[in-house]
Amino acid sequence: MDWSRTKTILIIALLLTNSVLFFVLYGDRIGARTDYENNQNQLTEVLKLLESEQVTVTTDVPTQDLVMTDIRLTYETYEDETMIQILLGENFTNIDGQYLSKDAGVRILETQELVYQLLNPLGGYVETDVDQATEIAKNFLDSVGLQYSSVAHWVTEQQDDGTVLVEFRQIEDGYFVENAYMKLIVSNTSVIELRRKWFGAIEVQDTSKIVESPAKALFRVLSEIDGNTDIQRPVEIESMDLGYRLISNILTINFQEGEPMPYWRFRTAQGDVIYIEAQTE
Amino acid sequence: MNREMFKSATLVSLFILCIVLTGQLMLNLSTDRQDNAVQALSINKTFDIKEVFGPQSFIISFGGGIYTQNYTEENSTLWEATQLELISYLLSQENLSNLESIDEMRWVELIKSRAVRFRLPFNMNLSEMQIMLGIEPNEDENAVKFNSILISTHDQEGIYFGNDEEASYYRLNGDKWSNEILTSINRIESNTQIEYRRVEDLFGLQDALSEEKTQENNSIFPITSMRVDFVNVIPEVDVRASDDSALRSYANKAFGKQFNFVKKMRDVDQSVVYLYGYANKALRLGTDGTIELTQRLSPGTKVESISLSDAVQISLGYIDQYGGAPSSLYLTDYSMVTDEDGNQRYTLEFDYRIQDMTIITEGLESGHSVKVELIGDHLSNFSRSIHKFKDSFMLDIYPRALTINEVLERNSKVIQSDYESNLSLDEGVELTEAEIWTRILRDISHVELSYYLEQDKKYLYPVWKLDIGSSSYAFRLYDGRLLRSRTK
Repeated sequence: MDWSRTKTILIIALLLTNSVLFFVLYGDRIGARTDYENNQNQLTEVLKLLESEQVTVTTDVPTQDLVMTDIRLTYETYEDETMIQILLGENFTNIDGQYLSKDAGVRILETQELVYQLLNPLGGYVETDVDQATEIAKNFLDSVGLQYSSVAHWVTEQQDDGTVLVEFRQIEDGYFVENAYMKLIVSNTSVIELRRKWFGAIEVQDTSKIVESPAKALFRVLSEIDGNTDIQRPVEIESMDLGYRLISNILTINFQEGEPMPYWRFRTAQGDVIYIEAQTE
Repeated sequence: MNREMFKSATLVSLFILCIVLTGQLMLNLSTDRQDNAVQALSINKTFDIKEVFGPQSFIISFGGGIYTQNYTEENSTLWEATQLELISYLLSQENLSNLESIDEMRWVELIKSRAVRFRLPFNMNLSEMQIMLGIEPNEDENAVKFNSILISTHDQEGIYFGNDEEASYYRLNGDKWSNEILTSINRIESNTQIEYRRVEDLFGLQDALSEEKTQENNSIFPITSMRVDFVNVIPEVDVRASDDSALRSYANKAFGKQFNFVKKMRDVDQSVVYLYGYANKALRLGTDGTIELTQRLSPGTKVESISLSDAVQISLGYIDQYGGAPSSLYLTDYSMVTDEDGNQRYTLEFDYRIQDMTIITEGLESGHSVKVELIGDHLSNFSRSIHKFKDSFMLDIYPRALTINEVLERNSKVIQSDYESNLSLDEGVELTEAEIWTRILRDISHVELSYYLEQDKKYLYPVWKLDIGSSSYAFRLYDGRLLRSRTK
């Protein structure tokens, strides 16, 4: 028997078998890498398509690494009264769960939401300057030590009663974290109300998720715009961010802690916000 | 020679690589299969539907106007014997074609005789009974629905079916039924603790109601009472346990091995919620031990139609998968509607007993221990709140149990005002208090000893459950305190 020849035939047969097995097992990843390389081309195509549908993108399309680490969020609670001391000073009383000082009060709703209110706002509810209100709100947060790196200004809006609402949201490591906020109401030159629901501990897990490419997300925005009667064309997308958002279902009532899902968030010049699920199945 | 050695080395390496890759492939395939297997588990197993077809109550008449109603071991023997007779009666086409109508007088005469009356958990026609007995149903959609089955010793060659609401009664002719039923009645008579009378006989309603003769109230009313133990129970799920492996195992059942897409949440009340993907599927394990599962079906999806028998099978599959079925589990009610997508939507509700008594759980939205909602063969919602028996105890501070009569006296104001608020305006003005009470008694449809589980409590309190017209009450057995009133 010619062993040398048999070996050669067996080597060829095994090479072929292994190639087939390798392709079956890891073929999709090879494809994925090709997708990644084609991303730029895809993006140009999608932007062209959006333009033809009267949707323009004026923001830079992010080129972040498309992998997001899983995190676990826990809402801050206020049992230790530290925050209440910061807002009301040393002299306050607790009457039926409501903390009162001589000129302000604090209530805690559902253990998670803190509501601070001035009892007798100076001059009442008056017409307030929108541009100044944001500064006043920021200064207030500074003065009570709540203006840290995870606080990002979201919106400033004039209310029907003339006061101005200034909203801040949470950002962690460059990713937005929804379902948390600080809403301040500014009247004249002072903050008359603060509502705060904020994530305290953020636990970083050792798993991560591949995120849908910006091109695909932009493509999906189109169907969201079609399905939303409130959004009128032409649409200008002025921001596009990646971040986390807690998802809900009819079985969820009021989270205290949980693992959020990755989302793309688009904001139009008209102020509409569109969320696109960013995790690929 | 070196060349040959190199070839041999390459050959060995390629062979090892081939084995590794094949192993990897097999592993991937088996994971996929396991995921599917978990989902398919509920469908592959076949259950005996007969086991969840049980009466809501057994009313045994010893003749001479004396009755009892209980759920002892003896009753299950009685019901099993009756099921066998029903199967043989309902299998014969000849019997079915001879279903004859009887008048109310004959029905009353029979229920007063030495007999057993099974109050069905919901109104069902003969083909639904056939399905619940596991036999091929005869298609007859418009058939009369019944709420009770009667077997009287006065007629051993027939089984009777009645609908008290419509006052329609029927006799199904068949072979002489087994003596086992007679023996059971005798045994129950010797062990009876609570005596009942027919509401009609007890209160003489026909004489008291001045209006023209109305339908008789054939429900039975207990005239004595008995001490019943309190029962400590444990919920099936403990979300506060430090070890979450039990919770994880429920999540594994719901989502298979694909835990990569599952998010774990905790509510303010400590309930744990697992969400799959973007909440297409969710599992909630409540602080009160409730298990809830929901699965979204994309709008416009057309699913395969299924029969009632399949719906019961699928429901039992899920009940089995999430903690198993208690032996006393029975189907309490079901409904089927066709939605805008042309899909059949089934809702099936189940209840169970502890120590032979039904459980009323406070705060259950559906009022039933298990609720399964199906769209065709797709499970859309599943909820289950079942507690396990731990031990029983008695409190010496309660020397005796109250009779339902005493309970009625203590709560007469509430019952009367509820009844009056349900009367139409002109009806209420004309009636005296005595007339209102005659009507209240006329409308008593059911009195039963049950257990009541209050929210956040770990024991069952024995109660009198009383149904009057569209209202249902639960009163504590030992002090008569009203725990729950509900209007359908």
